[in-house]
Amino acid sequence: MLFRSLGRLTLPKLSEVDSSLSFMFLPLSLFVMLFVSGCNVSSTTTVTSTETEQDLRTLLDLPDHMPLPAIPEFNPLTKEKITLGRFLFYDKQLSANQTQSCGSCHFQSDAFADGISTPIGSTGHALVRNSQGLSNVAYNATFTWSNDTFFELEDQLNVPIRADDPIELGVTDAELDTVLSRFNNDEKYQEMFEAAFPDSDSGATMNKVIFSLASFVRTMISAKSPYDEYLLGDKEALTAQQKLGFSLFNGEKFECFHCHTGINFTVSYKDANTLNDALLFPFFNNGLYNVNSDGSYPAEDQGLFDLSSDPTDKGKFRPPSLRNIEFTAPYMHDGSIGTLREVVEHYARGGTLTEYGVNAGDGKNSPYKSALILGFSATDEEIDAVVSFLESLSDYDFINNEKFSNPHEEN
Amino acid sequence: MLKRIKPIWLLSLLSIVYQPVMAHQKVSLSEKDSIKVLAAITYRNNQIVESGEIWQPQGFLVGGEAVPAEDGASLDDAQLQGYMNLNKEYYVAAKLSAHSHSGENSLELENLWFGTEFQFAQQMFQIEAGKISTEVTDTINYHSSIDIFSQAPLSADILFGRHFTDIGARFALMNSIDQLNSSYKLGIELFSGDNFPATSGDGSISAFSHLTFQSQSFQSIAKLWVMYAKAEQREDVRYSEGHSHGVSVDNVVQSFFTGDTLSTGIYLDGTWDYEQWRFHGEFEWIQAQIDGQISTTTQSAYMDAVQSSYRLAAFVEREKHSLHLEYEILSVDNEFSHTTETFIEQVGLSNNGFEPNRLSVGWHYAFHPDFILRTEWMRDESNELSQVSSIVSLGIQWRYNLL
Repeated sequence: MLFRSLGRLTLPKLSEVDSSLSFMFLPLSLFVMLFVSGCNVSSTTTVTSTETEQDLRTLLDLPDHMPLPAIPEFNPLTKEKITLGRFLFYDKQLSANQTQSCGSCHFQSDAFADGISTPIGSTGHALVRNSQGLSNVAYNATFTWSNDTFFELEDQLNVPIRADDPIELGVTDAELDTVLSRFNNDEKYQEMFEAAFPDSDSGATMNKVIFSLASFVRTMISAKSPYDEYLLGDKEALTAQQKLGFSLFNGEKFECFHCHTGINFTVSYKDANTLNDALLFPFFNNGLYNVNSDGSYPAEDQGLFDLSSDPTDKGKFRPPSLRNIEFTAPYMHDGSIGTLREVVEHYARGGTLTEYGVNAGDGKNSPYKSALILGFSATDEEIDAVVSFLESLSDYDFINNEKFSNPHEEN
Repeated sequence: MLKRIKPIWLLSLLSIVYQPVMAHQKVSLSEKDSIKVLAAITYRNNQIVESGEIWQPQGFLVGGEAVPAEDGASLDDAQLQGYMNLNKEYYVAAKLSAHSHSGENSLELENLWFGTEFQFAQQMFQIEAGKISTEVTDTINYHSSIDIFSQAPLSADILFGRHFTDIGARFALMNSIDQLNSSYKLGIELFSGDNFPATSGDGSISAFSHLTFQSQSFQSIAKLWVMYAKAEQREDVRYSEGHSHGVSVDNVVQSFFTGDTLSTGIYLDGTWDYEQWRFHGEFEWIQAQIDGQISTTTQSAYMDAVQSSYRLAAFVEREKHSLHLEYEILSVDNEFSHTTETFIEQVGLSNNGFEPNRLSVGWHYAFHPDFILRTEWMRDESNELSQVSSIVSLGIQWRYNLL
């Protein structure tokens, strides 16, 4: 319209303008016309991946929305190692006295936690830490509850298999040959070890056992919860209560997201694209204890302090992923809190009060408590909503998926 | 799409007409001391995004001061500009500016710089240093009290965070070519990096060439420039630093950009005075090539993007009245690797088939030597596809020379 109006104005002929106008006019006009007519004004977004990445996705059966986990170069993922790892995970021959396997403390039905506060090792040693669920551990920045030197699953797996204090599977140096000989003398295991490690003819070794177990555990990807469906665009996948809970979870009142953020709901995270200098190794004191009112935790487990001897590390533990958190009760590093609601109430209070006993003290006042644990007032409805949202992270496909089940029980 | 604007001959017309109504604060050693006050107050009946929502055109990284105006009345911009010529040896100039959003006000010493001019080898040179604006193009030095429309061009907002100001220095060669009725200015600028898309301390550098042609009643300006900016862990702080604009930071997906941005621009205009009429047209193309990594607290992705903006503007002026038109369209070609589509959507960088665009029409009436009545209609589709906002606004521009 406006252009048409302009066209009706009586304009002087171009020839009336100084002839030197052509100095600018012609080339500029031509340029603009050519430039604009040659432009393709359309927006595109592409996400590219290499053939290697696609192969790895296939091997892991990784949903499209999940990032590629970081696989260490020294232990490339293969189908054969995954298969061997699955058999070993559930095989009680991997404990010295053949009474326990990894699966004895990591039940698939509990998202590979075990449903009790602290487990008992194969020789009867009482362990001090709660069995962690194994959902998406391939994305962990560090492993175990509180160790800033375990960067790979291969580091961590030595502990339950080989440690002698406390004993879990009890494959100490003295028992090592005995345990490995069980697999070397088993024809089926011989075949599986050969297939998994075709360039080696040394039979079963502890390295091969650990590399295979790590490969299997890396496939334990959980990404089919209602939350995932919501993330992928199904806005009805979460209930109204869960959506409220999600909003509270990500809000500055509850502050949950500061430690439990991202696709795996923990800031202790890495994937194949995480640069080394961007890696975070977060450990937090969440105010669970304040023994003697000096910030101590129970003597049997003081978190990162037990490694560093730095008092400010007292009570520091790695924030776990909240994937399948509904299945992994009881909670905290020592399994001292029984329900998700009680966990939220712990954070709402700003710490836990232990009134009696040797561990008496108010965690709320711990000098080493994270500045993010300030406490807040929340209504029952708000707490229920947050708990309901946490339950939306439950992946029933994961806890029923046959590829993670005990192969020794298959027909 | 740009191709919708027909007929194409209009582009020829646009290329031959126009001159900025009021120049940005550019100074030289030949000026006298001055103090100016400028202000713009506008009432709008609508806004681009609802209060409490974040304006982020899909697929684009945004930052700086690029927040859209809200509905209702607001002080868009107020400026106190000063210039002091010290014995024709050097000059000092400054700009104090203020604006308001959601009832919050901010005051800023936007510019303060020193400059001088000298002749060397029969060439005229200019050196300026301090907290300065860029001279690559006036488009990215937007201010409501100076510019035609009450809201910043999309290209300025999206590609440069609205108005460019940074600690830096400029060195320029200026000369005229009498035989061709032309003058030119060639310059380079070096900045600390405080302005989007750079990050503080990481720096940006630019080079520009401006060519002005004048012949009787016709004047034309052509600009060609390039700017390189480096960013380290750049965050979009528009809604969290200083003023929130009513947006809860809880809703912001916190992401960071580390990498390089190479911006290129071409600007052409033409202004034609005919009796009591003045016709003006301009065309501007700016392209940003972005190469880096986008990350959140946990995930990250490699990013290789080309963002392009096209801006066409024109006006017709007769005595105290002028009619203005501006059309802008942007596109992005984003390529990511080592990531998932879900992550790219979460950080707001997924865009297939959406080209942010805006059409603005305005009528100005200079009813008093110091005042201009500004009325506008704007059709904006910049936030997401089919989210079209129609905004009518009425405002006043005030300019007064105190000295």
